Formats: sequence, C-alpha cells, structure tokens
Amino acid sequence: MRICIHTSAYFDWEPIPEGESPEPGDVTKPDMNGDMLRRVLIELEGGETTYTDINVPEDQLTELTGNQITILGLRASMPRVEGVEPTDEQIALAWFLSQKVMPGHSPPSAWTLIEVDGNPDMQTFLNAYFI
Amino acid sequence: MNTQSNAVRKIDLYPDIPRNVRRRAGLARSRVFSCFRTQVDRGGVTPVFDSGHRHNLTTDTASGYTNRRDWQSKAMGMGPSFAFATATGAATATSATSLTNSGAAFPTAGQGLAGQIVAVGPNSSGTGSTVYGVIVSNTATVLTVDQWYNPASATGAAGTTPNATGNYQILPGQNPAAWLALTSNATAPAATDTTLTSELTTSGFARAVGTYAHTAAATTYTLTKVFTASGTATINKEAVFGAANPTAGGVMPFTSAEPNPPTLVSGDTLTQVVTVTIN
Repeated sequence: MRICIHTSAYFDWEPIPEGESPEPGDVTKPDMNGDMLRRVLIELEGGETTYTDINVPEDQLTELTGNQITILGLRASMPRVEGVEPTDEQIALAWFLSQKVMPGHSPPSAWTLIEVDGNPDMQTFLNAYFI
Repeated sequence: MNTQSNAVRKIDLYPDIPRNVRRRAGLARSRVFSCFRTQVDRGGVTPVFDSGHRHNLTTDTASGYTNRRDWQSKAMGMGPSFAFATATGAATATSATSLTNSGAAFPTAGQGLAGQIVAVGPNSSGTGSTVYGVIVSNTATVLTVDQWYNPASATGAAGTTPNATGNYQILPGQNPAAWLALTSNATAPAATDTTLTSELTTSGFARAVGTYAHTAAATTYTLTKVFTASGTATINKEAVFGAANPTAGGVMPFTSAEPNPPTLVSGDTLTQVVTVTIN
C-alpha cells in the first residue's frame, strides 16, 4: 500500500553543540563518530509543504489485524472520531503509521493531507482521523 | 615526486599515497550509517520495552559482495556502462534458483553480477511467467538467484519459475536492501559478518520486507517492521538484507546487537526501526 503524507514540518537530525547535553525529552541517536545527534523539527514557511513516501507491504497489515490482542487494545485506547467506526485494518494502519513509522519523520499535528493509492476508504478514514 | 634507486629512475605516480594510507581500525565508520531501535508491545499502546536508537555495525570488510560499501557503490553509481553482449538474451534452462544461457559470457571477475537483478519474461512463443531474481552469484553461463520474485507483490513473494527458454534482461545497479531479520544468537557482530548466524525463520520472526519511508529533503530513510510472536524467543541481533531467502543470504549492509536483549512470548509484537542516514 503506497501512502503519501503531506506535511508542513519534518524531523531531521543535527549535532548537539559542543558543551551541551541532551535535554530531557530530546530524541537522540549516535552518529558515525559516536557523537550524538538530536532530532529537530524543521518547520516550512509560507505555506510550503513536503511529503513522506511510505510503502507498506500488505502482509504487515494482515499480520497486525490478525493479532487480536493488539487490535482490542488499540480499539479501546484510540481516540474516537465522531461518525467514524474504523475497521481492524484502519485501526492497525493508523497505529502503525502514527506510532511506528512517522515518529522518525513528522508529527501528526503537521500533516496536511494523506493520500492512499488505490484505497479511497482508507484515505478518507486517515484524513478524518489525523487531519 | 621522482625517486632514484640503484641507478634505475622510477617515477612515483602517486606521491600522496604514503600520507594517505590508513589502517583499518576495527569497526567501520562512514557517512552512511544506520541506527536500530527496538520496541516490544504487549497489547497496549505503550511499549513495554524500548531500546532507544543505537548505532549499527556496517559490514565493510572486503570479503565478497556482501558488504555495505560495495552494495551502495553499485546501487548509486552503476549505470549502462556495465552492459555486455549477453546482458539480454534467451535462457536455455531455468530452475527454482537459476537461469542458464549456455551461449552466454556473463562477467565473473571480481564480484561478477552479484546483487544485480535479472528480469525474465515469456519465451518467444509467449509462454512463461514474468518474474525477477536477485543474482547471488554467477558463472559465465549460469546465474544463481535467491528466488524468483513476483513483481506484483509488495512483500517479495515468490513467483513462478520462468520458462526454460524465457527472455531475460540483466539490469544495472543493485537490488534494494529492504528485508529485516532477527536472531537469538548472542555472538557480537563483526565487520566481517556476511550472514546473521542462526537467523530466526519461525514463530513469526522470519525475515520480512520492512515498510520504507522517506521525507523529501530529509537526510534519512526508515525501514520498519512489526513482528508478531507466535512463540518465545530472545532477540539478540538484527540485520538488514538485500534478498528474501535466508538460505541464499543476499547483501547484509547493516547489523546491530541488542544491549538488553528482549524476550518475547506469543502475542507480543516486536518493532524494528532502522534509520539510515545519508549525509
């Protein structure tokens, strides 16, 4: 499933300046020299947007929807959207994108449009849920 | 710089080499690197285990085609100049893991065609499947692939063995490294590793295609896979591979050890996120 999330901001990584330490809440990772990089949010100006291309293999969603422990937990804990009764696949994909894939790319608060190639129902759900 | 020795005048064509020689110093460092992050979920929305981002080990020892630098160089730079007369033609035999053209002269020097893709279609009568394979090794007349892939599958599913006289074309570049794999083997990773020792193949932990994501203009891309456990296992190492078949292997550009190996039971999910940085 090909998904394109348009966003007005995205995460990137920058070196932590010499003499500074990561602050609580910072997301960090080591670079190739063992020094630390800090995740930063790049906000685009003037209404400009960029996008994240995502290719989700079908078996990933099949696997997630087949795990009823996960689905039941997610269904109980996900915020409700009025007029929207999500399917197991929609729940699984919303969780997978927002909790597993996109934390490395951008926060949902910056998303402006979600396109789902060949799946208008999923596209409608994701836009209603996140945008 | 010119040097004089025993009356034989030699021309030093590379005067800068002595000062530029570097010794390999243990773990390879590079401008392309990855970080692995592991999470375990147990039915809730908050992970019960999170390793945080940790540095990978790149497999950069010159031990064959299965190292990250060779794969990256060919993937990014190999164009039509690789072409040769029998890069396209008709097979004379095929099997589940090979294609033969008895009249071919496939290049075998160095790493040969390893890592490249061979696409095969119907024969001249229009009979046979359309598939592709990742070349893991070759002789002058035989291409060995890890499996035949169904090009319509987003999961790297196996396709039908092509017709014995199918038309083929070998493409430049390399197959992407998009598969994530796990093992319970606790031996520390080394830059000389070409496989993941005792790679897990059952209980929901088998090698699988990761979800690819990249934001335009950002310096990273991610590969993400959520494994669902149907048995118990302790995960000690992970790796990224360039082919689906764990027996054939494929290029293994990145691997990483778990500092605090998590143990999963049936029903748990293990999320593996590999963030690859390209500066």
